[in-house]
Amino acid sequence: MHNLLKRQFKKYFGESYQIPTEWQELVNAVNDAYTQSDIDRGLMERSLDISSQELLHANSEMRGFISLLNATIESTADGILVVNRQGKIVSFNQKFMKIWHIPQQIVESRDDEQALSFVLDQLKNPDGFLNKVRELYANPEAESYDELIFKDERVFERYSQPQRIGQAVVGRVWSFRDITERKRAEEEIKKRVKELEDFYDMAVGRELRMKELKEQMEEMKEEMEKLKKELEKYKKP
Amino acid sequence: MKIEQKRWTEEKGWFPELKGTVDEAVQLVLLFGATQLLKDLTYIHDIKSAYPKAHLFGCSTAGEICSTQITDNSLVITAVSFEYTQIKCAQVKIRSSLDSLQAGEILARSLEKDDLVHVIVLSDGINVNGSDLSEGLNNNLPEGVSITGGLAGDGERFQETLVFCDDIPARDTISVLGLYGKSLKVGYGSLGGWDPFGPERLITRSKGNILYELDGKSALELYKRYLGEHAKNLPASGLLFPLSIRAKEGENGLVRTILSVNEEEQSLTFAGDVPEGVYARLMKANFDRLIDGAIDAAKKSYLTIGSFSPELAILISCVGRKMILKQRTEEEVEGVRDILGDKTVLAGFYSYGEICPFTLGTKCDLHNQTMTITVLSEK
Repeated sequence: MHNLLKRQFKKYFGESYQIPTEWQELVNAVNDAYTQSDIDRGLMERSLDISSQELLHANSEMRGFISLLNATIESTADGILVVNRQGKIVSFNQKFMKIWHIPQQIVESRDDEQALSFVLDQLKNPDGFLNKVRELYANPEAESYDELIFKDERVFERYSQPQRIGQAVVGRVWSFRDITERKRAEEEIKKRVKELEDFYDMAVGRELRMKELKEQMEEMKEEMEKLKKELEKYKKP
Repeated sequence: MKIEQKRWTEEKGWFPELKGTVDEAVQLVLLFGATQLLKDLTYIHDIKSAYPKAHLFGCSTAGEICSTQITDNSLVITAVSFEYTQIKCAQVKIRSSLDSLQAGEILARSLEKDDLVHVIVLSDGINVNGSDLSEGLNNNLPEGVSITGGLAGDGERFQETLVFCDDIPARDTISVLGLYGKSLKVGYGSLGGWDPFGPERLITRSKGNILYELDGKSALELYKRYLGEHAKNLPASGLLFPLSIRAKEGENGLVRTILSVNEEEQSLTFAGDVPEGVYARLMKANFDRLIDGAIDAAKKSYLTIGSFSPELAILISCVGRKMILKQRTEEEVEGVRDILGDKTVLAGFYSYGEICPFTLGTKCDLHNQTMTITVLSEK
């Protein structure tokens, strides 16, 4: 008999109580119900335990993974901006904020339009920039590449690609790379090359002139020899 | 319709008495009973003598329902004399669960289509893929014909189930009863009352209705972990944790129950498909939600039939519910009685699976762990 039931009989009927035969079936049914209740509760508690463990484990794995992802996105050389299909900023890295000098509260509001206006001011060709952005939002599957020239003379490469989960496009990822130095170095090289080319032209020109002069000198020398010989004829014997 | 019910138990024999009855007006006798009793053909012989013109349609069970009483190791007959409705039977034998789709097709094709209103299907409960069977039936019956039914049971043994229609009760058998006539009104409802809990698990390895792995790990091991000491009672104890299969967006989720376990292959066989790439969650039962599920199923069936008080209600409820509710199981049948009213005759059994449309007018599906009610009335 279930302990609780035994105790109840003892408490209410005394130690030596004999259950009458006609009640035995009912008592057995009650006993079964008590036992089953314990089993049910045991199963429930076990399920709760195991589920909790599973969830804890899954959570901590997920947290670890998220940390890793965040660290990755912060370690890239590029500024990264992720926007969903509704135009809301989903995520970004510190470099992105630094590039555009975007104040904390605009980024936190996660409003792409607001961030966009803040950024347009800094560009030499804001209309071109805006058109490109609008064009790409209308074409979620398109990729893009272009260069942005800032008013402060910085130059950036801008890539974008659709962001996919499975087959579905869920947003767009923009990446920005500072190529100001590279552009400057390119310009510098171009200048140097021009200079060298000019100098070369000039040097070649001079060479030719020198040759010309030399030839003229030779001619003159010949003439001088001729004259000298002529002069010898007229000297007194 | 005129309906009468009789039950055979070991203590009382037939009650009301069967001997002496000869009723030629009865066209259909529904017979549900324990596997062992159905194997003894003397009972069936006696029933046939009492109702010589009737089709005998039924199966083995995990419990018989007669009015609001549930019994085990008994036989319950529900003898029906229809006023207008015609009935026809068909039966097919299968070799393995792979035949289930084709079996559904063959059965559907064997029924005449003119004036066909509703089909009741009773299937072997262990060797059939219930979802394939449903698909086979759905694809080959005309629009507007509803299908309900269930998988036969075998107590909590899960060893062999018997099904019959005018034949010797046999295993690996699927039978259908076609109901014909415009006067027949049919309603149905199916609800569970089980709640998913815990994490979603991806089905990473399965084949049809056999599940091998969830999230790359053994599904059998997962069940054993949750069951603890009850693991030794698999597959029966597996009913304590049915699986909720997440369907595609916008579709209803499905519940799947374990029918058998294979230790060597480390697999679990379910009553219906458990496709790879789909997310599953374990489910648990709550007494009150189970009872409410039965009550709501009755309400659903009541609504779909219009506002008549139905004459006959066939209740097919899952053995998993009986295992949880135990002594309180009758509460769910009483709940159905409260909704349908005193005049409705309640018949049915505890099954290894239920077949019913999700909602009015949709195709039928295999369900598990539900109370599925089919109500019939002649106008």
